[in-house]
Amino acid sequence: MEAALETTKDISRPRLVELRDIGKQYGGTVPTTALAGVNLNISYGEFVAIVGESGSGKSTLLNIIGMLDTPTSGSYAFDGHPTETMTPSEIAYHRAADIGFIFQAFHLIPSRSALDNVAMAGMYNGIPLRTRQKHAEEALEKLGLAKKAAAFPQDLSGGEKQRVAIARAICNNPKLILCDEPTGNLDSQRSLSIMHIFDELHTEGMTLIMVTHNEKQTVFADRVVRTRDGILSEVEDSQV
Amino acid sequence: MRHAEKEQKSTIRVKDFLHEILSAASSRPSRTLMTIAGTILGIATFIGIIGFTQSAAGQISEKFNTLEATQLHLTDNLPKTSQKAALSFPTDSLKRITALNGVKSASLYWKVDSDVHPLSISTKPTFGSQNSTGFAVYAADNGLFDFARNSMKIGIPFNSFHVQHQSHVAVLGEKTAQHLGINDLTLPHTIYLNSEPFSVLGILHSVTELPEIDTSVVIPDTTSLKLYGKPTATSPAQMMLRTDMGAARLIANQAPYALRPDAPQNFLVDAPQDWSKATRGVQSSLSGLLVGLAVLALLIGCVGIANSTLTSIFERIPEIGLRRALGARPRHILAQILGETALLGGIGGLIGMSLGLAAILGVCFVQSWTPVIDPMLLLLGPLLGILTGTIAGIYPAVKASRISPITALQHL
Repeated sequence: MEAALETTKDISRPRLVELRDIGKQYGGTVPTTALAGVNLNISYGEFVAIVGESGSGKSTLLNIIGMLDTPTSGSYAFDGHPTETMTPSEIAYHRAADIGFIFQAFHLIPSRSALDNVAMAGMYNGIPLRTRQKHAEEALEKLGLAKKAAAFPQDLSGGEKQRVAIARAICNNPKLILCDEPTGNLDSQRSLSIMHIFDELHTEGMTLIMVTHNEKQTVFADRVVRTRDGILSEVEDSQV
Repeated sequence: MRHAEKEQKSTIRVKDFLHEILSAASSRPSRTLMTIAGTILGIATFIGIIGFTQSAAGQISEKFNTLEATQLHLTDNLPKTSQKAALSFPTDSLKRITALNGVKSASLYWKVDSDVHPLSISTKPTFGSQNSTGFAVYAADNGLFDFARNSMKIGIPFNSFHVQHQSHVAVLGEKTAQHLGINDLTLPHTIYLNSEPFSVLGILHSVTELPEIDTSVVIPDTTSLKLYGKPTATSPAQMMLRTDMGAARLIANQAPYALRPDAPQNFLVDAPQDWSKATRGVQSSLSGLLVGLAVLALLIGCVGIANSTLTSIFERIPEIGLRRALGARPRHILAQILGETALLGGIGGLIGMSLGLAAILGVCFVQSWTPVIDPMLLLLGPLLGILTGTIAGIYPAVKASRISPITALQHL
């Protein structure tokens, strides 16, 4: 399906992500098509799950939405602003101010405490350290990690590490949270716990896009987008 | 729009930037120390060499300035081939020379030519013509003892009376006295130059300006002229002058004209050298050689930081990806790595400078030298370290800034 995709319940909300005919090709001796003709609209407050096999293009799609990568064709508007016309500095600013990233490998800096790791968010859009630390403390408290603020990543369990990463993603109050296989390194119990946190954030009105290969986790999402061979093959309302 | 009123540019505060580079340097202290070990050694060597050279040159100039710069010699310029004995110095040489402003003391002296007048020095008269091996006879006016005023071991020097009356008196060098077995002058002693008797008036300690006096017998120049004639071209007459500080070079120009306005060319002047040039020469030659070594050490330090930083960047690829995801631009990554290496270099420079200064003080203490340390060295060490660190960081920083955020985030 290559038409603009959105659920009826999202029509009243302003659009945050608008992808039009997005394509992504990687060069080399044999060019690879990672994405082709992707059209997708995501509104404020939505929780969208992107599912698909490995190599189907779901992470590429997430990177383009997160402005870590650029499409080779098509257009992408973030919060109504076409990204094609943004300068590299503006794109970096949006990453810093408007988007929170959560990765499968947590990506915590080993030599920094949990608090310092969380407080890194907002550093590159000029928020003073004191303010960032205050936001970080609040975020850690929200995720039940207030007592672990001084702990270093190596002293935390996998679930705690991912909660620190979630705290870093939300502490700057971004418009969009992107999760790339956020439970990929966790057991089922901890995975469920993390999904409940996402659900709670969603309930609070946060917009989330999650890439996962775990079909069970899609029940938390408003919509499920399936990718296959770089094409959005299916869009459906989740069976919540 | 939440940020509509703000300029939407990725930026980092200076305070945060400094906090980040300080955190990076302090997070792995042992690694930091290993990274900067080369720089520490390089800067310590560099500072040590400069300080050591300055201190050594300081000692040289101190020594030369106090002795050599106040002393000069005039020598009778007789042709070396001439067999004829001659004396260009007028009889009132001392009066003429001491009339010059800046001359403190002067003495005319010469060594009695042992080839022309073989002299045996003994406590008994000898007849014949056999030299006393290793010992010499010097003819001098009483001005000589102005140079050796504090050098009389025992007894007294001869004076103007003895000179005027061509007295047969002698002052012995210390080794000559030992050789002759004369240890005290409580009782009068007579020595003989061949068969000529001389009353011993005193014994000299060594004289700095004329070390050969130690193994000599000094007799009045007038007595020598009467007994042995004028000095020869082999042992020409000389005049030793001591001047006020800084006047020696001027006196060197004036003295030949004061002595013989009609024939100033009759005198060879041994003028004091410009020791400031010599000092600079020593500094320059020492510095040139050793600073080369220090620069080599710094280069090794530079390569050490670059190598260690490259390794560290490989380990920190996920962190670089994270920073990019958090809004850092390539130039932020570049600045961060350069800042870190500059800081490491600065720390290395500070430690190296401290070690270098300690080494200079240690050497000066052992050598009893006055340490001469340019205050600029205190700035030079850390600045050189920062420069080394910055240069060392350029390649790793550029490499790190070019890492794609996606590649970096996928790197585990």
